[in-house]
Amino acid sequence: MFASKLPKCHSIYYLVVKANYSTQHARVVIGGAGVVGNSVAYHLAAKGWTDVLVLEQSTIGSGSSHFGSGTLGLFKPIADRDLIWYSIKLYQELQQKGYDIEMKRCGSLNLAKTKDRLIALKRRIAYNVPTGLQCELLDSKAVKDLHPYLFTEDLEGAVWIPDDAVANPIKICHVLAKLAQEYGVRYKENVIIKNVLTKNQRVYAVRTNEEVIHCDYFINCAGMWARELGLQCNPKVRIPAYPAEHFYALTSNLNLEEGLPCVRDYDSNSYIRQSGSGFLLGWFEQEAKAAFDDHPAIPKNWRHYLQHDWAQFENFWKKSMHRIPMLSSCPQPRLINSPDNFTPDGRWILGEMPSVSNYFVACGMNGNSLQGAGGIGNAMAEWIIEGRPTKDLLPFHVQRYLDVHNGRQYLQQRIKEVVGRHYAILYPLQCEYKYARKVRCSPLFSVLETKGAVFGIKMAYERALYFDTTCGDKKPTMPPGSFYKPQFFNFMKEEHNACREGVGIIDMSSFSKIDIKSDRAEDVVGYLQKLCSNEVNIPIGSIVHTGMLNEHGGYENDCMLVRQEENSFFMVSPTSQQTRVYEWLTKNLSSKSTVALNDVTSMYTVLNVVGPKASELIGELSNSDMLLHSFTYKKVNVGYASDVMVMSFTHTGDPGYCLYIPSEYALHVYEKLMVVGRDYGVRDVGTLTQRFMRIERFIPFWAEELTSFTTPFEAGNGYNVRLDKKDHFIGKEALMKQKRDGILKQLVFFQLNKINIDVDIWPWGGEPIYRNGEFVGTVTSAGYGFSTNKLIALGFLRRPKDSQVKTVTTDYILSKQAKYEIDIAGNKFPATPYIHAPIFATTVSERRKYKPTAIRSKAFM
Amino acid sequence: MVVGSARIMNITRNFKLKRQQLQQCSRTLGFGSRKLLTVDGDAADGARLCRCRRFHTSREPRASFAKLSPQEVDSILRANEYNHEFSSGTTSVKSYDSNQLASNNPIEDTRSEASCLLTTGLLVGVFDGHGGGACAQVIAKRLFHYITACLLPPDSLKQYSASLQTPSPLDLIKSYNDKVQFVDDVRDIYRNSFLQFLRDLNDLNDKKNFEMHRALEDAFLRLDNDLSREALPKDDGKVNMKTLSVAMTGSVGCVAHIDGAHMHVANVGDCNAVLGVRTDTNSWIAKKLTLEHNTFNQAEVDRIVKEHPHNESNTVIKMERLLGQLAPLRALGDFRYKWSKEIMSSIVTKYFGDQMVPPNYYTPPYLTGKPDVIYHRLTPRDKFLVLATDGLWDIISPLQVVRLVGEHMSGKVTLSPLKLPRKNMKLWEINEMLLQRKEGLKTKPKDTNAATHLIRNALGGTEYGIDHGKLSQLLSLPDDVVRVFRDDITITVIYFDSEFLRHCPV
Repeated sequence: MFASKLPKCHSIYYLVVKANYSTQHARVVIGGAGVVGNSVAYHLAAKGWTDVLVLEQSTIGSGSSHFGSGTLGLFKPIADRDLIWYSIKLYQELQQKGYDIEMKRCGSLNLAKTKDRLIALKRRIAYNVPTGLQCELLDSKAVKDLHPYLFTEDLEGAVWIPDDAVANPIKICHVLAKLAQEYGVRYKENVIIKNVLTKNQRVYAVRTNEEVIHCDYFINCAGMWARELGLQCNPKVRIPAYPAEHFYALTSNLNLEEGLPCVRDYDSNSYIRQSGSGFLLGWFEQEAKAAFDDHPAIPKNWRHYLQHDWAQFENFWKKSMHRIPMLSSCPQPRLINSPDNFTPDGRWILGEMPSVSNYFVACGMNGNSLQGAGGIGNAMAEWIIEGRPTKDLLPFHVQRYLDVHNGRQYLQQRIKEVVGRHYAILYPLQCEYKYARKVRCSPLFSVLETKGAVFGIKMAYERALYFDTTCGDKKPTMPPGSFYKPQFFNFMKEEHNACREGVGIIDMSSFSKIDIKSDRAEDVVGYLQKLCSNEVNIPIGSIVHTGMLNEHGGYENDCMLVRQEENSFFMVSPTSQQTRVYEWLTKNLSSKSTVALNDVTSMYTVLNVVGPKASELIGELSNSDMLLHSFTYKKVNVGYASDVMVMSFTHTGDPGYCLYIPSEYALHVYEKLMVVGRDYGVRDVGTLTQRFMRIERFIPFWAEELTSFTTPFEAGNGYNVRLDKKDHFIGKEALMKQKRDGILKQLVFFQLNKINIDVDIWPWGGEPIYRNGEFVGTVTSAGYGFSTNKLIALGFLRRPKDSQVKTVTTDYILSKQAKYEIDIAGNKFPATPYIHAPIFATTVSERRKYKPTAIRSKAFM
Repeated sequence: MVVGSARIMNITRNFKLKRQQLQQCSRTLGFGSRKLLTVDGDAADGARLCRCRRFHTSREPRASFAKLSPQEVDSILRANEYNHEFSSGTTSVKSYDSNQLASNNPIEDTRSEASCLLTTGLLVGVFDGHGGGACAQVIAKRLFHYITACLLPPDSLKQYSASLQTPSPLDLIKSYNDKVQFVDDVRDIYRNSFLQFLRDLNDLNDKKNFEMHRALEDAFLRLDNDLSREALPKDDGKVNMKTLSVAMTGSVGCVAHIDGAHMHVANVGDCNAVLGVRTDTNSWIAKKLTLEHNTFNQAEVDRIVKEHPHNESNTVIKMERLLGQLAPLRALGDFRYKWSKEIMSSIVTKYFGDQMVPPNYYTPPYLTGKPDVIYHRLTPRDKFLVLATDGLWDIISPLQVVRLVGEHMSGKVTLSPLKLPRKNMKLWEINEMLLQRKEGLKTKPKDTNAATHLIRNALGGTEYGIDHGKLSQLLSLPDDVVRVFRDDITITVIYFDSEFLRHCPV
């Protein structure tokens, strides 16, 4: 698409057009003329939005885009890879048009020195191959053939990615700026943005050191300065990205022949590419240093303050010499400190700000701005023009953060380990952060800690993952991660037993909670009816599970609505939605509305009391009849505490309650539950066990199954859609159309067969699903089914790529001819599909009714 | 105590003549409870011997109201002790303690405990006979077979029935502390009745869904019905005086079926089942599971009045008794209150005389053997269940019983709140009492068997502990007086395994 529109190339050197006309208005103002800002400007202009002004505090490409390894690596998780793939194709086009960007499709070797690393790489191959990336697993001899300078004897294997490439970052940065200008984009250098001005929470202008520029959109692409620029807005916007020192070294001329592939030596934290006839070596060290931490702000003349500390690199240098023995005789290489922006979770920051409309951001390139820039520029341009992302960018969405993530001290701590994680083995569900922890804690944190809780974080909130009940007085730590059965599996099994036979207590305080009320009941009901796909005009005291959808029928939120009063609702949403759902609610609230929103997340401690004996336990503690109908709630005293909201539902579909406890009573209620609960077989249960139990019940997760690109029908949540309800709701037309035309993908539950849970690698998510040998989907979440003792997985199923029919039906999924397989790190295991969770016998009525158990007498046999 | 014993005393007076006549009649005809059963084993002989020697000391020539020595009291109280422990971790019942103390001679209470062999579960029952012990004895021996048969899933029932035709038939239950056997001729009658019941069950079983309440009701009613049928003349017109005399006596009873956390209690009459529950603050709660079927139970009175024509409303319950005679308002046996007027005149009058037909006998049946079935799911808070005949409940309250068993469990004496025994006590007297009481608290329970502990405290308990004098007096009353002061007492205390209940699935 972009190829045909590219203007003809004359030279990559050009002059910034010193515009004579007024710069006092532009449709879009972009802050920062680095490679990302230029790419966004170029893509906007190429799509017809040419009234774009790029403001740069210094000169084009003078920030961290100036440096960089220039490597372009595709061997990544799919969401990242697809954007990078776009970048590579774009740069290739530029090269073909004659721009000298020093691009070489040299391929890359991704080395595995350990068995676990090889598994990690094989898992990546498994999902990259069916989605189109060429990957080849090589033995050490084949590696040697491709790269004769490598020492390969200690390798378990390597993955060869022929499509990987290298290019010159600063040259691409300039080419994109030039092309953008040819489309009419204006650039203004040496301009300092003082403020981004808003009216009614919407951007209307940018104030620079020179003038006020009116605009409809502002896009913050200021790289290292993006966070500080974000604070120059009223209200402040949060862009949690902070630079870490990031090093690479250039050797002198080593007379290398052309065409050596890039090497990623993960287990040595380093990469090596050819640069001219020498090598360029770079490191993602395990513990990095935050840059400029002795400065109050990121300096404009940043290069001036960079330090080169060879001592810090001694160890890495040794590892590089081990990998390329010829380096030992190389004269001292040139060490370059090229700080780059890292984010608290190592993922890009893209999208529209919460709380300020039309304020967009694209930053946080995490060590390699070139690789993402092309794809990000395109995705951002589409997002702005369409008003919503055109592909699933949920993992990168800026609305995944809270204010707490944006603290400077927090960021300086956190990014120390984010750098190294780029090359670490990220064991699924077992790769928690070390730094900047214990930030958001439940009131029960300290108690749970003494009871053996091993914590993990979500939205900076500490949540008990599981309870190590054997550690006594010591605080437990998570054992080394594994792709196989987790070492702490037996604890999870015990926790599950408590939930299925006694009572399990799960601290779910991290859930987002919002009060929605109005003086006028019809206003709040009308408002929620518009947002929710389910009927929300429910009796007082009832609870409804509903989705909030966008116009395309995709999920914007998955929540429980509790009607507390005629005119007041209490909404419970997933933890990671705290910022995003508030934004969605605000966005859909007209300025004249009488409805008021209040985030009360921190007011309540939430305990899930799960299990067949939960009812008796709560009954004893509350001295009241706890035979609540499901999906109703009651305010009761528990122990000596008052005003505890007991809601009759659980997040796993098991019998039990959610207790919403005013936080000052949390400790009391918890202790009562534990002391009195002893006779009911009570046990602390972690969120990992709960996760497996949810998967077993086929309950889809927010952000894993439920995203803006998934509808309730596709996710099997059709039961909470009421197309027949009187009021219109957002997404209704899309759902009606889908109901008429059928769905293109459907969430399916799989049970894996012929897999040995003690010996084989487990599925963890991301595994490709094959139907009669054809790729039809990817596992979204996976776990262990405690009731069936089988490994289980959820995944969206589509038709194969070249099928004529596109709609997915039950017949198609459950066809007797269909043989399903799931590829786990290169081994395909047969799987049985289900469109409803297999039922296991624990329903209440069956439990209540006594039946004698026959004893098989010997004489019978 | 006063109320209870007065009531019993009244019954005794009302029935005194009739019962004596019946007993006499039984003796002359060569049947009666003793003839119905044979006692097996030396131990049982010893027990009976002991009973003759100890229980009925009053019949032997000795100084009247002479005090018994503590050792004599102990051996009287402990003569009928029984205890059984179950292997730990396999069932919700850890063990049980049982004991009996006779007042009537012979005792009219019976008890029975057995494990079900073809289904999981334990059965425990206490039975309180009246008009003689025959019916209670027969029921104690037969009822559990009827219940277990009703519990059998269809497959097991077929296999069990089939096995009866083989040389090695299966057993339905394993009884504990069962030392008596039916004499041969009645045994055959009972066996035939039971086989017929099995055939009927087999025919019925496939068609119905299992319902524990109904299964227990069916078992009780069927046995009651069989007792009636066995008593009535056969086709040849012959009357079996043994089975007929059983039908002239009656029995109330309370049976618990315990399987894991599931406990069902079936109750007919005025026995009681009380659950000892320990709260999280270590205090004891008595949870009375049963509601006696007597005139204190208004619903029961209403039921009976409603079942009969309006003009009988003044006679059907009279002087707090059914037809002015029977204190319990439901019972097994007692066909004098159930049979039709024709049978009454052709059989009862013929063999026992007119006086056996209750007054105002217009619209029988007046009595039913249908039990109330109570379900309780055991929790780890439930520490024990006390099944006892009214001989115990007449003397002490359920809460006292639970406290006593609780203190017995913990090996520590905790007395009931102090009540001053008389008015205008001097302060020094009260102080003396408190000191004595304090001393009493130091002593450990004397008995290892909780049922014995209950009997000892029920009879000898005072504000300051056990009074040996009171105990010895109550145990050495002459036969003709004793019934005024105390009824037969039968107690079975079933201990639950809290650890098992904590972990057992629902």
